[in-house]
Amino acid sequence: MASISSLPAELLGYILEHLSMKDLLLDQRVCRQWRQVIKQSPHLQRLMFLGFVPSTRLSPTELSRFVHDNKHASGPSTEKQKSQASLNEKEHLDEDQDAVDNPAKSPSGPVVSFNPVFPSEGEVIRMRTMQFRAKLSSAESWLNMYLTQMPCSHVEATVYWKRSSASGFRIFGRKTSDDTATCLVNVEKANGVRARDVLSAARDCQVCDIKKWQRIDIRVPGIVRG
Amino acid sequence: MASEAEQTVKLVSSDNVEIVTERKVAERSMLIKNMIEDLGAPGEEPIPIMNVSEAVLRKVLEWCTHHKNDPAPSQDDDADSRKKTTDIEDWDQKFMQVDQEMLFEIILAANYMDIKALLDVGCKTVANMIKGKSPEEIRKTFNIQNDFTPEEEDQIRRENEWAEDR
Repeated sequence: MASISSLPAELLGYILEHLSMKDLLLDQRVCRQWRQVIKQSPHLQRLMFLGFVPSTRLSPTELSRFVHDNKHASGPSTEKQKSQASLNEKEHLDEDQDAVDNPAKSPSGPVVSFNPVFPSEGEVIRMRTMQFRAKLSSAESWLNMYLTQMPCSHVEATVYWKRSSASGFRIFGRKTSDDTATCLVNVEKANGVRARDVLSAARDCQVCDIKKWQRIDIRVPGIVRG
Repeated sequence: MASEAEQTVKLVSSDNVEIVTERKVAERSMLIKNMIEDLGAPGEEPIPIMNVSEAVLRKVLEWCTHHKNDPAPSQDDDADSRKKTTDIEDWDQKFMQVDQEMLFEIILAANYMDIKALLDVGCKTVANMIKGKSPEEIRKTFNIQNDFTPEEEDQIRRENEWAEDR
């Protein structure tokens, strides 16, 4: 009797090709056959941003469809300027700060917008602070993902962190946005930057304790979204 | 000799049933098209479709009849340009409203008979049944046995935990 389990691996692969990255990541848990098919198909690996895409027929303008900065992910924003992200984040950051300080305001708790991949407008995965503090040696699949589809060889990451979590700044009973500092990290890698590369670059610059990280924004230089 | 448009071909299903159909309809299948070209005398020699039973073959031919005037698939329709979309046109959607066994029989037949567009529709239909479901729901939908050990499943869960809905 014909069933999904009786299909040859090739056909199961065709079916899975129509799924999104997120579905594919979860579907590896269905059974061994599915896991094998997903792991062994270069095309499916590519759909999950794990594989190297050897060539691209996309022009930079087309590429911009696949790349967007975190403001899209973290909700509506009135900011227009893109090129100097680190200087223009203040307003936005204050909101985030609010969310951190008043968990009641945001039911999901402090959400950190480190978006390891930018597959499409509708499918940006937001991560928690804890998650981007993952050990670089861990097996979490997002660490192996490219930051964009197609992979970029150069990204700029801005790390935001709390300048002082000690009471020093709170003596006057007021918290200011001075509590937050930023650091710009350039990451270049000829065959594409992975989420892992950005994290290790940000760690290597050692400007602050990663426990104080709040958020990482990633930009692809030269691509401005309309 | 009849013009190509009126030509018919005789197909024989795996359970030995003869089905006569328009040549143009049958030639949606690249397998049949190539066989007709090799045989050289369409209509005389019955063409065996070894792996496909009568019920499935009739269903496949129904699809081919509806789509007989579709433009031929273009050559650059390779894996890279395969669209990730799961949009299916209305007629095809209705056509695919069959039980799971028939659905997978159609996919197998489309693959064997080399009808790419039908294979695509079949695969998209199944993909739509998978979309947005948890691994457990998928197993239930398709009656799949979970053959992971709890430890293995947990390991994969940890790798991809970040993608779970929260």
